[in-house]
Amino acid sequence: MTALRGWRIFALLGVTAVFACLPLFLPNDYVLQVFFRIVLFAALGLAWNLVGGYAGQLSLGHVAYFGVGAYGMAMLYAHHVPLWLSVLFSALIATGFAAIIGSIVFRLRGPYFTLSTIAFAEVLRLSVTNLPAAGGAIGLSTPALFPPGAFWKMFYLSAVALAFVSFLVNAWTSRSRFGYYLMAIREDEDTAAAVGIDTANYKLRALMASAFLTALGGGLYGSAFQFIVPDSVLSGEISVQIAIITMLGGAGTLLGPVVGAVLLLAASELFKNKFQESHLLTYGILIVIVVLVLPEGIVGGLKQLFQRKTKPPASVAPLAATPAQGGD
Amino acid sequence: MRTRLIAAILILFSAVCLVTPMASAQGTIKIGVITSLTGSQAAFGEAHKNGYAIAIDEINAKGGVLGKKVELDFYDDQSKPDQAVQGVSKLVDQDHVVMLLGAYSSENTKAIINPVSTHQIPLIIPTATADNVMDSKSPWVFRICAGANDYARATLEFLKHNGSPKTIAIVYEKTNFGQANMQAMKEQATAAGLQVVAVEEYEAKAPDYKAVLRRVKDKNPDVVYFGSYLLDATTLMRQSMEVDLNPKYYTSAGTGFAAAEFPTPKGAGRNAEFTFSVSQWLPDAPWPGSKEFDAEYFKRFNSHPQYHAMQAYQSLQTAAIAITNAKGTDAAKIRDALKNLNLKTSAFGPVKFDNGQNLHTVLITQVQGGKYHVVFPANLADVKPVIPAPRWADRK
Repeated sequence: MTALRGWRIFALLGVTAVFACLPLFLPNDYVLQVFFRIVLFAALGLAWNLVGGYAGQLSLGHVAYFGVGAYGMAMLYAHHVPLWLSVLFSALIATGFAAIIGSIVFRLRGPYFTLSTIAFAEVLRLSVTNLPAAGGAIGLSTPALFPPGAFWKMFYLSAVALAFVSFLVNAWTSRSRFGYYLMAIREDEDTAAAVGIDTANYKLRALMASAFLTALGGGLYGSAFQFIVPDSVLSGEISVQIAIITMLGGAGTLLGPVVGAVLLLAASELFKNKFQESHLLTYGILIVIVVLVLPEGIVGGLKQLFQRKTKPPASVAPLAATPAQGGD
Repeated sequence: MRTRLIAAILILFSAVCLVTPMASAQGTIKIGVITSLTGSQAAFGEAHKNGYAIAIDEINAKGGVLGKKVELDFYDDQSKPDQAVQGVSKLVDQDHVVMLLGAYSSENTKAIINPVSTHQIPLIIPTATADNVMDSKSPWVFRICAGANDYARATLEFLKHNGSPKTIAIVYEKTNFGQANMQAMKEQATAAGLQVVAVEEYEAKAPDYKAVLRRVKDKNPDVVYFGSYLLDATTLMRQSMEVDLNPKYYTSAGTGFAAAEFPTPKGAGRNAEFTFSVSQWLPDAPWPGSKEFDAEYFKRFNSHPQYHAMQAYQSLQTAAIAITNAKGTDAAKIRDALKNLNLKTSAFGPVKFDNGQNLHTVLITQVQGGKYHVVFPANLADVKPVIPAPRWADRK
């Protein structure tokens, strides 16, 4: 926890407190739902950041863990497992699932790795679609984690809690030996292995932690919308959205996923209410602008901007601000 | 570096502009609409939107409802169920609409039944045909379209009176809509004495259905019954030609096979010829207002409407009548007005809800010469059906 010294810890607590207080002032459930989605995706982005940011492994299959979280929760509960235990168990199942997937796909690198993550998620989606016990394509009704009265307030606060935990894990990773190993793997996997880092092992650990958090998010999401179908909680779009949020905000940075989630999801909802059908175009243009102007993501880009101003231009770009794609 | 700053400022500025709330006119009655304006079902969402647009102009031209203008509030569910759920909250909690219309697909509609019931707001379902959307028996839910069971019943009735085939194969896309229609047809066909020789499912987004169609061809059925959306319907017919599948009857549970684009070059084009489809409505339907709706639709959008547009149109018209009958915008009173509604006639035929379900007559149509024609029931038909469908080798 050496990373959280001095003002940083107060800043973190302050930000969390402000977010957690927001529901008290929000005018209605709809805005709360939008905020719930934003904070939840910030949490998912942070979880993804462990693998995709620090370790530099571009996973486009995180929806698998998300879906296991949602479906696991609904199906375990249907088999009389207490509600919150089924959320926890399904996250553990997702972690185990990640261990199995990881031990296979981490033998691959670069695009092959990415493709295999997509493939696993797709296999899972198709399996669930054809599994009558999981409701098949018709879907499942999910149990509500909270009573109707404070329904969205509680979901929102749970998402804040999840985002907070994910943030702490990220903060610890960014300054721990574990995190340095991951960054070394990202920068050059062969060199990392040559200096004695058990690369497969550390990548796997990062993935398991990431899967656990992602599955918790999936459980929350599944319960909040009370109804899940493979096309909603196992769709490849979610994997891509999680990755885009993090990369746009700044992969491998602490605040990147949070900034990305706020900007993208708020924009998506606002554009939708404002421009009707053309919202996707507007949304797309926004992404293109950010990618063109700030290729390292918003936080990464601003960091660089700030450092170039304060330091003479001859200085080498700092490690944390280099793009994540330097893996191999 | 300066460009980056400028870009950042621009982004911030546009975000601020967007947050400023939209001004809403006072003294209007707001009705919420959830439909799929984007995503895989966008073609149908467009039809919805057009239907609603005509209805709202007609209603407001006549002075609105209860002396107030009616205003529509759209929420795009992006063809995703969770977005549809969010739409209920946006429209009810934030925009305070007096009632809801939507969603488009059976899947999204099923998803919003729960939130609609907990919000205690009346909902009219224009187009969701899967019968499980009515499972909840919620008193707040009213469906104007006929369901999958009615589709199967009408199709079998038609077959019985037109050659009485012996075997049937069912091919369906495996979301709620396709599965519901497959179930309904499988049960009722067996009950009606038809032998179900093949039941094949497919993924609507898949690009290739030849394997499915070849398996059907091996069974050589008299009838093929499709439960398909638009893009898959188009591909299915093209690939039916390619694998040379020749049943006597191509029948279908509407939707893709009843979409405006389907018999045109934008859809399946000539491959669509001779396909039968159930239909909830056609411009030629013998109901007052049908032709006028068709003419107005063509004038505005330069294409002829299919039943999805009409169902949206009639949902809004029905909503307006219910609010008028309720003499106010109290949710429970509107619900009761819908319950007691008994429209002897409308552009969509008579409207009367029995436990929330409108008792609607299903038509059977056939594509002839690039156009849909009613072929059944006989008293409403405008042409005779062509049976059997010519073999692919004999077409052109």
